[in-house]
Amino acid sequence: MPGLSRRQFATTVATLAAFWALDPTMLGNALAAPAAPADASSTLVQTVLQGTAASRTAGSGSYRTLVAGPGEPYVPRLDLLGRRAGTARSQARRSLLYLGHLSDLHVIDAQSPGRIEPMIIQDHSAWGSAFHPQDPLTVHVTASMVQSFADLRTSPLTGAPMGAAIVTGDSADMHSHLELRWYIDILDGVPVRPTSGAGPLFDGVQAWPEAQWAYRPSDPAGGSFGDYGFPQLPDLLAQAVSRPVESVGLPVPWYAVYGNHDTLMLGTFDVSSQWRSLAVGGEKSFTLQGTATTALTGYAATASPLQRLVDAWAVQSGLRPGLRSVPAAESRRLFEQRDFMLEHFTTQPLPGPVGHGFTQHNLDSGETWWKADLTPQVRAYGLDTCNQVAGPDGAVPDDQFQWLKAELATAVAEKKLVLIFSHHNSLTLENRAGRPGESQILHGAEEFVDLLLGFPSVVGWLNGHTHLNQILAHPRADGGGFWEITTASCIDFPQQQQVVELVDNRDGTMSIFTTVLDHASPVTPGNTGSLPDLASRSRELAANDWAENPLMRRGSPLDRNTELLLPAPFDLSTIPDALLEAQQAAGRARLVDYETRLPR
Amino acid sequence: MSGHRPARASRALVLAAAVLTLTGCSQVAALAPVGGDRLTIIRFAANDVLVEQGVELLVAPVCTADGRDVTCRGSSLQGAAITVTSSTDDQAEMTVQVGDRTIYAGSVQDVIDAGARP
Repeated sequence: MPGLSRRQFATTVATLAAFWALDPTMLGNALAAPAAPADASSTLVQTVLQGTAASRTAGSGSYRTLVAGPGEPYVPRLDLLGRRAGTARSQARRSLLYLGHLSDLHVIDAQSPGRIEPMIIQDHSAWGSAFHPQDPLTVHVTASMVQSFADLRTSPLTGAPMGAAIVTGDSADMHSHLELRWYIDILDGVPVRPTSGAGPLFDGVQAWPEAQWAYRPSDPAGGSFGDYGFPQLPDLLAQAVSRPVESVGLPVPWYAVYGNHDTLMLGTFDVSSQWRSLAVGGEKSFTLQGTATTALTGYAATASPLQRLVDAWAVQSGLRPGLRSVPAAESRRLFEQRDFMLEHFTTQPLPGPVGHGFTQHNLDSGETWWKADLTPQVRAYGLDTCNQVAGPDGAVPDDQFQWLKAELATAVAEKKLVLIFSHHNSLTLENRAGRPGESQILHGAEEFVDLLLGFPSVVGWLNGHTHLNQILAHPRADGGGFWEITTASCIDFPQQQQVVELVDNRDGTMSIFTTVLDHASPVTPGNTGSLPDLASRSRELAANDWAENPLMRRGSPLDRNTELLLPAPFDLSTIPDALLEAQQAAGRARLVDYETRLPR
Repeated sequence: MSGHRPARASRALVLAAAVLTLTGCSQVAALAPVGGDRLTIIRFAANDVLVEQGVELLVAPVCTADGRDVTCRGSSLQGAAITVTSSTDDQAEMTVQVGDRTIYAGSVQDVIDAGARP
């Protein structure tokens, strides 16, 4: 450790050992070892590609399995630098922050009566987000993705320890409290039983023979999924709900922002009182007509107790077509907007932080945005770009816009590097729907990008929403600018997330490295019912969900493993080596503590 | 009973139609799987072609839409202009030019598919 003196190193070890209650000798040895790039598997080593179509035997269609492809090296992008990059930078670089980026987890309670899966009958492409064949496996995918972040807890580039992780929204798919709880628990490393049903069997449209339009794993024949060649997997649904999902938990403090699915029903519609009643009730629709008469008209909320009793009897006796009885469950309740923040305070002390970006001030004021210093040099702003009224896309409300403007001026004065976190990206920031009488200005993408360009400290904007890997350059007229980095989702193929690393090239430039992560599961799923096999199965099903144009969502090589160069916004040599090394020592100590808590 | 079913079904459909109208057609249209608009797909496909053919990029193509016409412009490290076009007349096709040289003219989806398959 050339930056720290021997005495400083000893003091650092003693302090960190005391803080984490670790053996000083063991920790000292760990910190004295040179940082080495992680050797865990990543997309630098292997990618997941689509294989050939299954043989056209009777009943099979276009269904394709997945195969392993070659790893993808980092592709340098010079859009903001405007010239060739210095060749010596790879030997000179030092890590400023290594960060995990998760987005669009879409954790789903697939048995909930609040879901409106049959809407795909009306228009599969338009309502594709209402039903995916892999819906019962979202907890498994999230847990396997957390495993992948744990595997890459040190940088595959520099060996720097991961310092933090950000979740850029759409964590709970259908505004369900249970989905919200499951997502937080999986990221915290708390086991989750991924079922809201009363018994050991899956009780939802994918298990019901009447719902021929759905992918029914035990008998896919008769519907479009069967025609496409989706496989018969008689044990899949039971495997999905029968075992608790054990997650290793994220190794670092994680932060969260709102997504449109955390704000509106299906990310689009007002969370009405009838929908709230439906979600906890005892009837679930399996037809378009049933959905029209329940979710969309809401008899349950307006009927008297006697009428509801009669309705329940009618469902059981088959007089209300399109509905089936399911056990009512209060645990399936829909949450209020403030509850999203509040639930993040019910969390494990590690990895923390309690509130995951939200603070008591947020709960008291109702403000849904926050700031946090991820390191002494890197400040993050977590925004809420979601429209509260209607529609999946977003905008930046003026109160937030003005707050950020003032904050960015401070960040420039304090020589901070700035990262912006939001759910929406620059292509989906034009939703200005407002309630009658509301006068707050909603700023769109052009104004927001201009705002960020006005402050050179802003180097990156991380977001999600569109379920694809995409990286856009936003140049400043006089040189420089910032990079906008959009990550894919955990629900649609390719089910990828990413790690992001800021490095100082020590030549007046800096780079942001992006590395795409597949979840920790085999390319080809087995039928064991294990967590990795179920996550793998989800990815394969997602790759065949034709309504989602799955292959496009991988992005191009310029959107996956990249080195994004830009002029340093200020003289980065003012950041002492010793400070960065102390910071990395603290990060490595945290990981040592994490490793001691991992199951053997 | 059988006489009641069509009435009940039609009532439900009318109600559904009414609700969909109230919620706004634009909302329903916006439910389409997020992302994946034409501009994005063409940008991905153009990048795939450029990387595949070893074009060193200074500025990756930036795409804009004029109606259903999409045009993307960038530049190579050697200073050549990069132009990608996909017209309303044939939305499934695109042309990628580096300087005066056309390096691809053909299906957009074929490029996307090829990039995701061995």
